[in-house]
Amino acid sequence: MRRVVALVFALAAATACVPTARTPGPYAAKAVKTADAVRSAIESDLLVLDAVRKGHTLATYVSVATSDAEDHASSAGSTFLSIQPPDDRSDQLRDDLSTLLNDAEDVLGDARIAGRRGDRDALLFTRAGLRRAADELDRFSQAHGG
Amino acid sequence: MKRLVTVALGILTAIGGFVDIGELVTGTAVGARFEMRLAWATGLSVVTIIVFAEMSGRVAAVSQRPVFDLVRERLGPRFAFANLVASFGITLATVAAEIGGVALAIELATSVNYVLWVPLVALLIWLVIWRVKFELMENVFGLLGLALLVATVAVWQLHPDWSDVAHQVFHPTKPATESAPSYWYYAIAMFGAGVMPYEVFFFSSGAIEDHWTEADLITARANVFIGFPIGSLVTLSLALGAALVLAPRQIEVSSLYQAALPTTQALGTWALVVVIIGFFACTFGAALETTLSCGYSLAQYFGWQWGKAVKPKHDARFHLALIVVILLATCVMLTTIDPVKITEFVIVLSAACLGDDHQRQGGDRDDQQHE
Repeated sequence: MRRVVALVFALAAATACVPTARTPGPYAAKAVKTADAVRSAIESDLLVLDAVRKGHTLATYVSVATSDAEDHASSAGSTFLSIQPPDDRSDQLRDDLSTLLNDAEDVLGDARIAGRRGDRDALLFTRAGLRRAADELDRFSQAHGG
Repeated sequence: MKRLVTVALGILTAIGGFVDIGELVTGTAVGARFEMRLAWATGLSVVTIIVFAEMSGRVAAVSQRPVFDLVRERLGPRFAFANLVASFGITLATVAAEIGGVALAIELATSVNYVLWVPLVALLIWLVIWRVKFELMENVFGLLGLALLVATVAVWQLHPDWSDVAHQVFHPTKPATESAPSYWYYAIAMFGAGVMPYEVFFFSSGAIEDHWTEADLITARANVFIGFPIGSLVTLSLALGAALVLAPRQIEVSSLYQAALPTTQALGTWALVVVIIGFFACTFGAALETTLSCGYSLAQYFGWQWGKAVKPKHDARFHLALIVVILLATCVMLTTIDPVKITEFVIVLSAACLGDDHQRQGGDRDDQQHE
């Protein structure tokens, strides 16, 4: 009995920290959810940029908002990438999304750097890149049932 | 005239003090995700908290005894202890969430990481509880919390299609993109955000601190019946602002700064400053209330001397409990756990905990009528 209990606890401990998707369907659903989460962070940044363009905001607020958006996107991306893809098709899905996530993180990073420096022009310059990354993630999400 | 001023001040304080971190986060998140389709949950929570607060204030004013004192006497120490553990646990987690909320508000104004502000916020909470008179503390943070009414002005400036808003409010169907469990989870969260257990303990104990008698019931009822519904307008304004600005862009709310985005879009820099002051005031006020509620419930259950009006040397255990509560909540926040996540956890548990309180207070109300 003790061995059974120990085995149950060991299994619970081993699986507790690793997000899983044993079949392609749930894996694809998690990919879509991740794409949506990262796109949401980018859209938040775009709203902040709108406010910056109109002179409707504070430097400290912009700094916090752009940092939070990057952190949120990075956290969502790394959680997805840590999931073991269940088959070859899922490998391809992972590669596709990974490229989009890298692009998104790059441009969110640029926005964060400009935001923290209080460099208005550089921040507004990231707008096109953010828009492109958001649209690509949206297309990915639509293509995979999002 | 003096009575009128007292009643008006009480109403304004109730409006400003109605919102806390739970409503800030949940109102915005729900608006961004479900637009106004869950406004009914806020309406239901306002009616519920009105019933609870009016009842607990009346019981305290008439009997001159607060909630936990009566719970232990009427239901026995074992049942009361189980309730104490549940409500104290939730309120302690709420203290942590509110401290985190204050620190996040200061972060928005300074861009210095919120974790660095947590110990200072904790110290400030303790100093205010130690030094500032109950009435002054209640009024200052309640009135400053009125700053959040700027979110209502922002909604007006965003020119919503009111017929569409009314349709969503009165025909609350689940969006096709959402699952039923998700809809009901957020409905419970929206309800729970408005009916945190600490609100009842604080209202009941505050009645004793303010020396309410039956003559003060009119003030209490004005606070509850006028102040709370107007206070809930702030929550609904945050939700509607999010529905108008965040929902079309499918933005998921995960941070406090996003709650300020609709107001900033609509009204500009001055409104952003006002809304950050509102965030600070309402979370700080709620941090004071939750901390005191923890001390009140412990002291009332164990029969200790308690109250801000009592000199600390005469209610040392009560003040020690407050210090321990602040330290525990601070330690939780220093683990860098996300205050928004704690808030989400707390509000879903809150609704369940108050069901128990309702039974107890219903019993006490019946006893009052018999007496």
